[in-house]
Amino acid sequence: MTNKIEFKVGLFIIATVCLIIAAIGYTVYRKGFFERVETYTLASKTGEDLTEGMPVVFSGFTIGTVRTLELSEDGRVLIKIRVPERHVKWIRSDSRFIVSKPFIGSSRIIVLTDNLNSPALLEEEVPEVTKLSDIDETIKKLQPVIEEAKKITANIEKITANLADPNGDVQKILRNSEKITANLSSKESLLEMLIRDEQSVQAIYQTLGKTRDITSHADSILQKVDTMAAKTDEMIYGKEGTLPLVHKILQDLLVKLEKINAALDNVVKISADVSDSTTDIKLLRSEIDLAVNSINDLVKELNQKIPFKSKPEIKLP
Amino acid sequence: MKTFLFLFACSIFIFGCGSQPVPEWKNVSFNNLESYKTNYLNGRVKIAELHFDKAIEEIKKSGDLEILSTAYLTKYAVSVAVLEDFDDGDYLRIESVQQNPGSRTYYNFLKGFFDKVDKGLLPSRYRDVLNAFRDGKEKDMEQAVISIEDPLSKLIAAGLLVRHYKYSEVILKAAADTASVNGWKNAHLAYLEKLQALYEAGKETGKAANIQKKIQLIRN
Repeated sequence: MTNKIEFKVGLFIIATVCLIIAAIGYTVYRKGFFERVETYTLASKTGEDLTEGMPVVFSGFTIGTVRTLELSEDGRVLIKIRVPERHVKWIRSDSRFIVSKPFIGSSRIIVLTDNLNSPALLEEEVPEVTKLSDIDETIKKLQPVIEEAKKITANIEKITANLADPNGDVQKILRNSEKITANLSSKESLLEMLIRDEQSVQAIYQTLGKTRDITSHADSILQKVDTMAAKTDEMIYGKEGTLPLVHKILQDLLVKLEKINAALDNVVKISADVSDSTTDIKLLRSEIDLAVNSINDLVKELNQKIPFKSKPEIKLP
Repeated sequence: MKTFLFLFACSIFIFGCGSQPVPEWKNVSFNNLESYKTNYLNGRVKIAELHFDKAIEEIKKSGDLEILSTAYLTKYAVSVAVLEDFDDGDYLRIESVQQNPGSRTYYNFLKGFFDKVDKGLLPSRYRDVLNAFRDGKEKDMEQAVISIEDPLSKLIAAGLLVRHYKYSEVILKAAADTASVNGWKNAHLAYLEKLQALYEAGKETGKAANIQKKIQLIRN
């Protein structure tokens, strides 16, 4: 009876020990303990972001680990990586090794192999690793964009401030336009509106006044001519006669009319210029719109990407 | 230290993962309302109006009338802070559709109906001020207003005190200083003008002239 119990206990202990050994053995086997491990040596200019035990990754899968880090005679950091035999096929002679420090998480060595058919990497070869820091890269890329955005924002603020400023250029232009339109609708003086310079207007009025005087003068002469009908034609057609005088006056008037014509031409030209700049303004406006939209998009993206920002909540002040 | 850092990093990671992305309208309306406040207090009124209109447009996208009324009440509160009147039509239109006790309490507070203010619903920073307003003792009111920490809330309370009670130069100076420190030109000028009027009423012409010069210097 006692023997039977002892036998059973013995059997149980042996079975348990066997099971434990089998479990440990299986785990160790699955972990690749019995597998052959290749050791490769990589070189880096700096040991920054490198730690022993950091993973070596191919296509997102860990295929090995960094075993040791040593400083070589020439000052470079030698990285020994251990890769189990079943993963050796991913490491070829033309593979590139990149130390990546992601935004969140620990750094890793990424293996990039373009051609899997190229010869395997020999253990004596020491390829150089390149460094890639996501944060630095992102910030470097973002920096000029932010600088641009700052400039554009400053400009836009200036423009908006100008728009809002009652003494600003835009408001001035608007007021002037209003005045012109008011003048147009009241039609108080077309000439004044076109020339807008009261002195010139005065000058033109004076000229017209003179013309009127001359006309009345001519009238009086004509009257005199009428009264002196008996006198000879010499009085009218002669060198000093009335007709040459009228002729002279008309010529004078023609010259003056030419001048007014030129002034009118200028006015037309100015209007054309104005319409040209209107298209420019439209273009500028659409460019500003585009810039503002781009900035908006950028801000939206930044807002979404900054993870630890406090939640916006509209509260009573 | 290391453990602390590790736990801190873990907590940030966990909270970071748990947060939902904020809807765009909320983000945009919040930012625009903040811009409205600063621009209005700074005196850039037209730009401020643009921001406010944008904020309202965004909130209307959600159709949330409570937030909409909060936005209008914010506008009224900013007007009170710079000693200006406000047109409460927009808020009353919202209230006729959907009542909200919190908004109503704040509205009563801004309008000076202090007896109708529900103390429990009023933002906690105004409770001491409300008590002092109800008692009506000048020193207590001034003390309660000055002890508010948030600068905008302090100006709102100061604005209410100036509008509804007898006030001294102490509160006007405190409000002007608060506005000055924050660079709120509009508010600063409003309180300086009140201060000038107070000195003129008290026949303190020297002080009044001094303030007048200061106003001229700042304004342009």
